[in-house]
Amino acid sequence: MRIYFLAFVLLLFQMSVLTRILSIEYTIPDLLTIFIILYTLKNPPAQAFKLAVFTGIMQDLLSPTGLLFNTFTKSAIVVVTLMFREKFYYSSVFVRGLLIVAVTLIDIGIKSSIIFFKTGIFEVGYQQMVYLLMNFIIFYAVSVADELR
Amino acid sequence: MKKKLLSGLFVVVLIAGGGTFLVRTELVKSMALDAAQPFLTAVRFVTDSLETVAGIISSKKELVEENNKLQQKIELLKAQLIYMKNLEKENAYLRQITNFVSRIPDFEFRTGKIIGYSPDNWNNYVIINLGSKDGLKTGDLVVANGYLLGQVYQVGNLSSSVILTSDKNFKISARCRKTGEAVFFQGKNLKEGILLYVKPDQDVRIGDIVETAGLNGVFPPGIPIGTVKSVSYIEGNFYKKVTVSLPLNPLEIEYVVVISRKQK
Repeated sequence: MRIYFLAFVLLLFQMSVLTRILSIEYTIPDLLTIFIILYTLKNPPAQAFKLAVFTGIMQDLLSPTGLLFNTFTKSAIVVVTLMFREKFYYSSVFVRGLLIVAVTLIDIGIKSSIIFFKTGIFEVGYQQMVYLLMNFIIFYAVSVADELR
Repeated sequence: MKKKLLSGLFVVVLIAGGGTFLVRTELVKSMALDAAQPFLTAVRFVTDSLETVAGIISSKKELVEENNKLQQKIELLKAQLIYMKNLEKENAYLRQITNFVSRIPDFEFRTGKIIGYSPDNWNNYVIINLGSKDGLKTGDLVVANGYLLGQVYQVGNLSSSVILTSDKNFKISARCRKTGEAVFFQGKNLKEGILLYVKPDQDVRIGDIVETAGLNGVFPPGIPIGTVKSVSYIEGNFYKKVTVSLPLNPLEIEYVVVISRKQK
């Protein structure tokens, strides 16, 4: 129960303080995605899926699209992370970098496609690259700090 | 194995169906908004207080200068208000003697504060500290710094969500200020939007201001949305490609004005 509360608080923090502090060129990193990846790496798949669905639905409830936009991507993130966890040795520098890049690219692809089908506008460009870079740096910093701890 | 697969499929269908029902139910969405409101308000209060304290410590001189400028601006606005009141009286008198029927409906203005932002880069919306208890309704327009910021799309009891003009789901009927051409605006990203269905013979010029059309009296007309940034046309196409630059950065806005039609 505590982990769900923590995820909800992280979502609210991302919606308030973090958006204003971490925004570069109108782009913000997704701390919830990073949180879910780290949780999936250390916990059983069923628990990770539950957390991903909960976080996604909470995010979708507040979003204007009226679709299970984030629930879908967050669940996909758990699937990809589990695949990585089973096949690779996570503490490798290369694998860690590859994981966050793969997850963020899948996130960008799914969200951009859903938005395209709903609005007719497909946009993958500079902003998404900044998003990828920010997610990469934050994930790397957090995972290294977690390992040192 | 088959049983396991079926049960897995059942769970997926249950999450997809139940989740879609949840995210499309007005009541649940407004409950989620109200649940987030106390936390967002508290965080905004703390960050604002910290910013104020930091501002006082770092630049007292700048604050004094800013205060003086604001005082001057207030005096100027007060003088303009007196002038406007006189115009209003004169207008009412002229309407009375000419039996003029008003075409512009009455609107109410409420000031609110932004307490939350979209947590991802694909949806552009903000949460404000006004809700149904303050008289807000879905569809009300939200203005900041003299430009259209967005439209209220979800109303909770204590707070509301505002879809921004930059969101890809935002669409509104508009017109060009100089030429009066009727156009249809759609958001694209935080820096620009596009005009849809602009025919080759329509007069849309670079630098012209795109503003709300106010058709049917639902929205007030003449609220600026942005400025035409580029116009291009490829021979043989049905429509022109027009982009509109948006002047507002939601992260720099603190206060907004909500414009809603008066209830009769």
